[in-house]
Amino acid sequence: MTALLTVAAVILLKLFALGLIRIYQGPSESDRILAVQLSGTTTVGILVLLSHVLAMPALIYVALLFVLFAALIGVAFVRHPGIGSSS
Amino acid sequence: MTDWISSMFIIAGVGFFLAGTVGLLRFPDVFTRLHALTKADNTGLGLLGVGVALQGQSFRLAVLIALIWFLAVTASSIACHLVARHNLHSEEGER
Amino acid sequence: MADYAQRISWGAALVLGLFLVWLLLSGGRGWPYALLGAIAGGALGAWLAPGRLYRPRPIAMARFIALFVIKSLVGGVDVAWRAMHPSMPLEQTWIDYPMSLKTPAGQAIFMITISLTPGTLCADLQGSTLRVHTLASGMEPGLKQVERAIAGLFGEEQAGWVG
Repeated sequence: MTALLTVAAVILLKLFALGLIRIYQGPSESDRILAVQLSGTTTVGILVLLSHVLAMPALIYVALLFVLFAALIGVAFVRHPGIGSSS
Repeated sequence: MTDWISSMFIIAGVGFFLAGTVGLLRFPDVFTRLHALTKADNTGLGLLGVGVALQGQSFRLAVLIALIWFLAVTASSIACHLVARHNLHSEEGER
Repeated sequence: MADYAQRISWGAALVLGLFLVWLLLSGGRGWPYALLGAIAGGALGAWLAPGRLYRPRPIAMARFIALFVIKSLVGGVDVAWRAMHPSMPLEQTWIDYPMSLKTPAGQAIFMITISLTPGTLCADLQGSTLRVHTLASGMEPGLKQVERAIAGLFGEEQAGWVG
């Protein structure tokens, strides 16, 4: 069972890396921030898996914090004064 | 039996993450990518969470994972709306 | 005074809720402090909360949560299918959806839920009209269903109410 969870975490990590392609390509800033959001969710998934694989319940709290920060990313992006005029 | 069910949930969850990433890379514009992002990913996270919660066999862990899922869904939905509105307005500004 | 009694029970519910969240996060360590904090928080909340307090409706709430979970699952399946399909069946349309929800909280919940329901994405709000991006045509009935569930949550009557 641990093997499956580990494999799942590795696959998620690979998907995270694939998502970086979109950050690199863009084309707009919105696309890049979307990819960041996606990697945020993937990170949360990896953390939830790892908390069980490594038997470290504390990682669940790390995941909780990541989720809370994920909300701030979007707001910070939209509110940032420099964005929108330059794109 | 529980192991079996929870493996199914985890495999399905990873599948949704895969679909979300594929959607992000394949879809033609920002709005369609937003669809892929908010929905596929959160479904994936939910299924993954159910799988891990079944493995954990602890009520508190299950509630914590449910809280994480709920917050993730709400956060990504709000972020998605904000990015969509931002994109809509900047498109209108350029025209 | 009905309002006064309602505020007391609302505060008590808040105390219970805060205390439960603490228990969930800490696993029961330091609970006396948490209890004090929860009581202070509940009292402050009941004292300072502005306007009319929200009266919880458990049945409507359960129905809405069930709808929320089902919709977001179906939404995930729908968009995953579209992403993985070789020909990517996307049929993008914009619809303007006039909301009949009145309370700001209800409108906010509706906008959050729209982004999770299959094929729809809430992009903008002008007055009480939502600009919704959809991946296929004919999404209005699904939106109506969600709106009705949220209206039930806040005890709002609707013009188009059926059953």
